[in-house]
Amino acid sequence: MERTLEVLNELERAGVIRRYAIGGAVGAIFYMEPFLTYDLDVFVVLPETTGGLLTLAPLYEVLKQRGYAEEDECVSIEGVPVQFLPAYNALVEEALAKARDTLYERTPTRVIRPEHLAAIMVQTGRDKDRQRFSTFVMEAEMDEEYLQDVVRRHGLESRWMEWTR
Amino acid sequence: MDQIDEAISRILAGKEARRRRLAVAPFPAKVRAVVRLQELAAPILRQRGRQVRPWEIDRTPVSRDG
Repeated sequence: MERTLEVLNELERAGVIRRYAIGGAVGAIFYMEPFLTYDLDVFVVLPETTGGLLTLAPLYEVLKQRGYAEEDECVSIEGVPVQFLPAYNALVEEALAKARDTLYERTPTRVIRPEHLAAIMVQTGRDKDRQRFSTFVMEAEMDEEYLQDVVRRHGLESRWMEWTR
Repeated sequence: MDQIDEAISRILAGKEARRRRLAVAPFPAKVRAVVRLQELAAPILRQRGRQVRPWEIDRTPVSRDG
């Protein structure tokens, strides 16, 4: 895992990605009791292309040149299947910009803040997000004021109320 | 009945305390726990037809002075 994060840092330094942060299940596990998952979801800000198109193709090409194989929707990097998710809306862009710097052993990395992870679960709205959400809000320590601000600014109040009822 | 209630309460409190301890464990320790869960669950999931592969990670914790 540490080597996987080193590779992500190298990609960022080389400008292949502009910024990354761990999200999804592993992001949630940073703040709560570990649970079963097989994916490492990594949100990325990609460099701007001339046509303004958001594409993971250049990133996948660089990884392929380094010998990291594509497996279904993931790329296996140093034994860990990484699912890259480009910042697809304003909430995810903000989550990436405000992600928390941390260390994994000796390797610097970033994890999405818990308030943004909770908001992304609510926005995504799948059954599995809802199941995870109820445990996450009980276990993760969150800044309540910051959380409510995120929820309000991204128009998630109604579903938030429904999910926390 | 009161004794049973008391025993159950103690068990539930213990589980809650364990959950809180795990929630604040260091990130690498949590990832190692996830990989252990992956290894335990993989044979069951494969029997159900789901192709999964536990992560291959270095499990040796790094010492602070090393």
